[in-house]
Amino acid sequence: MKRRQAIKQLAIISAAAAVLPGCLTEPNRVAYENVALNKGQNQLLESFIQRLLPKEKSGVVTPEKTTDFILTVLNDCYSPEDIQKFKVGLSELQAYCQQTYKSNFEELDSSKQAAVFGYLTKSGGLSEPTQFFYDTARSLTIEHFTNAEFFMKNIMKWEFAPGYFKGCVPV
Amino acid sequence: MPNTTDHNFDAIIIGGGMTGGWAAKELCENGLKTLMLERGRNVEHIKDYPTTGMQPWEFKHRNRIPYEVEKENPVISRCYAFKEDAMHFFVKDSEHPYIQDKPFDWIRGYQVGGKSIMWARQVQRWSDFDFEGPARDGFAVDWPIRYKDLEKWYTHVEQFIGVSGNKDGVDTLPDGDFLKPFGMSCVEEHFKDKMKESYKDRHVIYARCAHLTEEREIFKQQGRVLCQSRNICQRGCPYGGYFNANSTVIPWALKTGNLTLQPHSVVHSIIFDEKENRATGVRVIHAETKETTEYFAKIIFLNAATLNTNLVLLNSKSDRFPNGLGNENGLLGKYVGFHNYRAKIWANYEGHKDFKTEGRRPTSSYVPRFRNVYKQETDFLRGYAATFYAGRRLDVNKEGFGQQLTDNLLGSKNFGGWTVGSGMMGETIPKETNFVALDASQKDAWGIPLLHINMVHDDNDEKMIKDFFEQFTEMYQKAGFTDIQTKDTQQAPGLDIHEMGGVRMGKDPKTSVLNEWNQLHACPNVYVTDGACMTSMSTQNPSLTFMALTARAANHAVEKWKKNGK
Repeated sequence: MKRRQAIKQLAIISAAAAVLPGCLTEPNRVAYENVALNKGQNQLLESFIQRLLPKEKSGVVTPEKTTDFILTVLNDCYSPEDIQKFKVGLSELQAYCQQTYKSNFEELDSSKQAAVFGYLTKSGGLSEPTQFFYDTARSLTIEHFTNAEFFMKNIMKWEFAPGYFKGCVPV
Repeated sequence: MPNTTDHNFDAIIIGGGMTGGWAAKELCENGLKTLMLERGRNVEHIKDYPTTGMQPWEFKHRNRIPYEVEKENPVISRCYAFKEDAMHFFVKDSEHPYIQDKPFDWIRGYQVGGKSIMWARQVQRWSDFDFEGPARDGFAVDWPIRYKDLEKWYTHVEQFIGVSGNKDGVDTLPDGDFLKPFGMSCVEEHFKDKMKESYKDRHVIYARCAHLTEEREIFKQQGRVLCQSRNICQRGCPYGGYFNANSTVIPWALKTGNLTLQPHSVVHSIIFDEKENRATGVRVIHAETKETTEYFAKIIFLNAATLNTNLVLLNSKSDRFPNGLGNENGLLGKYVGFHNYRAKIWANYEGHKDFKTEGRRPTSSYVPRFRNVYKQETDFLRGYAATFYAGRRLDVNKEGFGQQLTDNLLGSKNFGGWTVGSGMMGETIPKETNFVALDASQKDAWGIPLLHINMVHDDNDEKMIKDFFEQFTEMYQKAGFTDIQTKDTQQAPGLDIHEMGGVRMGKDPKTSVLNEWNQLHACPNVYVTDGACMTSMSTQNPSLTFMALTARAANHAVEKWKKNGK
């Protein structure tokens, strides 16, 4: 199959051409100059994301930690106003946990953490920043998960180079 | 400055994009020593497509544009293809300013290959319903050519670039030499059947696209293989699966040994020699060093893309042509037009629930113009074509939180319903009041006057939008689509990326700037064969017509050259 071989060779060339250091994720990046969270906020965000969408047993592996993805996108792609709103919302969540449970979110047991999600999910009543924080963190976390290789290939049945289109196949 | 120490050529091509590439292919194949000047950097096929092999999860912003980039470049940020994966191929507003007397989103690609790297690859032929439009409906001037003049050049271009399509037998959209289609989805076929039942003249076809779906010897010679339907063409394609100038016409011209490709060369103006009564060369400013050089040739092809082609001519002033080269009648820069893309419609479809699509395709379906085709029948002139798309996706279950959310996401297996949509592509009427002009004092970093752009939608466009909404709502209803929604995006001209005209073709030097061979009436060794030459705008994506006109004009230049040596 000469054609297949040719395509394979081209695919190799393309893979070689694809490496652009500037576009790849910097795995050890810690400073997000526009977001600048303190240690407590970082810990809260990390455990909140982890509790929101646990991925350990899911098979989904992401190129970077979800908090790094969220902070990178916030830092680089969100307006200063939205970043501020996100930070205020995060602080409000911190305060809510302290007021309600006299404890940080990450130290709560599973049922209390679930109650915090219950509070965030109920319709209405949340301040604008808290709502913004929750919606943003949630949608970016889900995006990060559903954009990962395992999810796209196995759940979405996505192929990078399908090479065909079938307009009408049975579901 | 120059890569080349040679300053004398048989031909000079200004602009290294789609039409410049075609001029290079035709001139070089016929033995003319040709210099191609491109204001941007070189982009070599495959080598300079840095993101082409990247997986979606490898983009650190998952294809978002950084906030600062968007804030500093609001115009280009409105372009659908300006995303993390291809932003390096687009001109940033902040780097190349222009003056919007009226809002105009000028989408540009300054590099070898130009916008052919990121184009939408739709290639529908024009017909005599388009070429006869101005004469029949009394606007602009009569085209100096008809379909028969261009027919063999359409075929010539299609055979070289590769076009996937069906022979549809539709009057308004002549058939060409096509490679097999990717095909339509079942709901697109359903819409086609319903339109056939309901109307005698509303066709729904597979939209022809410049992609390789069959092997042919000519593509093998170009080093291109079949389209893999990755649908990330805007990054450049390592397979050469779609046509861009970088994979096809430019390397083809280079292979002849007759092409000198010189990037980083900003053309200031064309030099006119009064004694010889012809253009003798071009004045070039190096993009980085700003050094000025002159190059000389017997033939000049101007292919800088519509508005920059206007700019170069307007800036080419001499005693003989104080208002710009070839501008004896004051028409240069006027009667520009675009495509009216403001109207969108979409809906749901509850039928065909047992079917879905698989794989991908780099195109959609297409509804050719059906308004005012055979006779005037509405209160507006001309008409519109439209895209048509119908597909469905896996419904990702995002309910819950914690392990339940994880399980819901991983357990997603139900398909959502079919969604359908169309975008209008309306013909605009070129008018004297739609024009571009040079600023009297403000200049860019290369000392070239800034361009004023004055283009607006008119009453005809507004009436067309209203009619599109009415007609497509009716058509969607007849097909059983539900939840029909319409939107007037209010987008400014320019975002269609189909700006045309300003150096229009015509029969009479008093009322046009170019003749039937794309030569300036007043300076025939200058050919203008990009979008600037267009007399009227039609509804079809114009690139295929630009390429066919270029190939035709270049062969005319070659014939003259062989006869007279100039």
